[in-house]
Amino acid sequence: MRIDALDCRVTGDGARASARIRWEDAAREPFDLFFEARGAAASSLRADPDAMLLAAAFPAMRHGERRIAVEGTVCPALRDGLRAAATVLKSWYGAPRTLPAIEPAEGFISPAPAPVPRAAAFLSGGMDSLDVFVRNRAYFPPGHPARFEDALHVSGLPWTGPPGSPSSESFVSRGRTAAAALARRLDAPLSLVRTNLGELDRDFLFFRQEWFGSAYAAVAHLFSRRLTEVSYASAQQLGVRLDPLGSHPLLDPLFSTGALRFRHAGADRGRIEKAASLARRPDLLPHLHVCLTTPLDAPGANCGRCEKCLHSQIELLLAGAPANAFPEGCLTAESIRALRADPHTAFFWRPLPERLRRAGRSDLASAIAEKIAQMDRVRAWTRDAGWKGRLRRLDRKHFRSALLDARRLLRPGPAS
Amino acid sequence: MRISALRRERSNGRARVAADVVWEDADRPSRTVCFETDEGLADALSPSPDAFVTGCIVPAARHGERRIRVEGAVCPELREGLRGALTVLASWRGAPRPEIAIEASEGFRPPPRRNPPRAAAFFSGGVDSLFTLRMNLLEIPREHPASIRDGILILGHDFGLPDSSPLEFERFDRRVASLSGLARECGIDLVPMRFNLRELDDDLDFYIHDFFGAALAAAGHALTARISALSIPSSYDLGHLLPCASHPLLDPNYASSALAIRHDGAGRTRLEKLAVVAEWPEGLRRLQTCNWRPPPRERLNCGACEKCLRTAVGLLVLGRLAEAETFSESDVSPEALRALEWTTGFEEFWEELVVPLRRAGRDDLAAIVEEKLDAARRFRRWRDEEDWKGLVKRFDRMFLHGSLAAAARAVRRAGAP
Repeated sequence: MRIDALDCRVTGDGARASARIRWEDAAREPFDLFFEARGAAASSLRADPDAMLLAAAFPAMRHGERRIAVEGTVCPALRDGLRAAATVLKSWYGAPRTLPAIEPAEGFISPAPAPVPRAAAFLSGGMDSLDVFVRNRAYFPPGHPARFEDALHVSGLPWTGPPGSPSSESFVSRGRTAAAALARRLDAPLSLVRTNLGELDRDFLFFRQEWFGSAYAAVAHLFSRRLTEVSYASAQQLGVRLDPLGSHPLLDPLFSTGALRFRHAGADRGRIEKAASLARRPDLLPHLHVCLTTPLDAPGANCGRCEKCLHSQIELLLAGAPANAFPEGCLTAESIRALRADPHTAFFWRPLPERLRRAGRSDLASAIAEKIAQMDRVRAWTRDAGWKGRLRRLDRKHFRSALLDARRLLRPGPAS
Repeated sequence: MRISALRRERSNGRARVAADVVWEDADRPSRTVCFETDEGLADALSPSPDAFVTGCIVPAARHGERRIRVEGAVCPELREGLRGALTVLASWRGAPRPEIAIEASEGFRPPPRRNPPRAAAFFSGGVDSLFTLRMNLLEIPREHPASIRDGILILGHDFGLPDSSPLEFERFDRRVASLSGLARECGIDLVPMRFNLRELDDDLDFYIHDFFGAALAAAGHALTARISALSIPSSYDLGHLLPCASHPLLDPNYASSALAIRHDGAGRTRLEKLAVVAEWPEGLRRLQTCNWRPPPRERLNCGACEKCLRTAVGLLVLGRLAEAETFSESDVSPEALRALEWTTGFEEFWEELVVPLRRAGRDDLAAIVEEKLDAARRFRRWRDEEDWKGLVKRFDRMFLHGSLAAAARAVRRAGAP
């Protein structure tokens, strides 16, 4: 892979940093990567080689590139960090995950940080990022180098449909509106970044499992002339849920350079604790944006009925906070029963039934307990756990699935 | 637990910061906990509440203290990090986070961050710390704020324990003498430090698995008048992480807004680190890996313990053992390797040596290492009940209420003379 033609120019209302990515080993088309920034930090945007490397390194590794030649210099700490991150990914998902050789045209040089320390954080508008901001505001007085002096909001990463599609546009517009309202109330200058980075590899599973931490870190490093420390809010919880994910407390610090420290923040807290800290800022709550449902025809930022909307409303309910960012009347036992049982989300639901019973909402608690049981059954099936799973493994290993074939013969499925 | 009377003291050419520690729920003796250094470095020390709360909270949580109350103000970032660290430690044992409240008599306020920034790293003279320093010297410009300026050498693992012998202090002095020269050559300052945190709990297993990362970070917090960033060299690489008191999931949690803490070098295996050190003549000349107790007289490395032998084999395959002055032998004998008493926990370090040993034409040593690895793996499978015996044991417990095991014990007893 070659990353060259690094360029940064002023646009009508902001700045645009870009680079050309050409594949050398994978049969893939060249790609013009861009990041467009508007807002307070836009004038500090630069086509930072470390940022471009972070953006492309894991897609290059995934598609078997043997090297990444980058225009300019690369920080040696980032080179080592990416290599270490590839080792972590390999330990989670297996080989082959070998980082391509990194070949900067002007060698490995540690960049100097901005002369005045300045911290920032990503602000998506969801509970995790808002909690990180709210606590930072509570802890650090103005002038302290750890106080967030900038908020960054990114669109164009593949959380929803392809860029320009109605689903993507709906999500982007709701996210930006929420972030703008929240940043105003937090008194944090907001910068909006739009990128086509998600188009470099459209596989959402890859993005989620391996890539998104370094993708956000790439955005942070574009502002390394202005920022020395950028926090990304954790969706995980130490000791409770640390799933292999593209953003992880083991991975994110590895995406730092001599100029900018990239931090994984808030992993020490659960969602109910986060809701409790938001309850102390009722001015922020109407602007919360947690929903990934797209397109959303109804007014407001959140559908109120999807999995994420429902557990967020319950967390706010338990924290005694108004769920006024959600349409009224959505939080019912029936809505919970109607959800698909996705075992990846069980972590969010497990702490809720007991607390809901204590809060006098046994109706919701029972519906959630049923849903968790369904999730566990799905998980046991997908992991071949329990006696049935053992039998399936035995069948595959020693009988080449003959038992399964026999069962299918005896009990054929519905005709297609 | 109450931590009070935070103070500075000077005596016998040493400067120290100390505090009185009283247990409230556990029936354990009160202690004076201290961090000390040479008098010439007195200005580097400060009686930081962050240092004492970080140094005491892990044993306090272990012994069921319901709160840890410290005199002064604690950094709110550190308070959250400590909760995170305790959660991680508990999760490794499958336990919930211990309920211990952190209280500060002057509340939670971020301490000021030192300006200009100054970076430090722990500097024991072992493979990990020499690697951290060498890479920093090679790759970070000296004017960069991440350039290491201080190497902190700790005497604390044994300091003040009832069984500490004068030899421990002699060894520390020898290390100081050896590493002072290296520090001078590298243009960094050597900061020899001593602490007695292990007096709070002298269980060595607990210290290794839960406590020493927090103890090292506490020493860093006691030095925030001098440093703003601290690297803790990693022991394990990211591909082979094990629960350990210093770990990439733990160490950053011990940071405050005045002190950034970095778990450094986990991207490289031990042999990769050793290869970097082996190409650095000044470092290789001072390499000291041995922590055998009691320490050998007049030598830095005993040459016979697991760590010394592992390092010697590494240097052998790298073709540098003969040049390593701190190792008395220029070769490793099969007998020495065979005589090594090996417990589990070191397999990943030895596994990476097998292929290089064969490449170096040392099939004799490679075969012994493989034998020992096989034995260690068998032991681990037995211990973790992963072999067929384990399957039977689990079945017995689950469905037969342990009656097979009881029967086996009865048969053994009956057959005993």
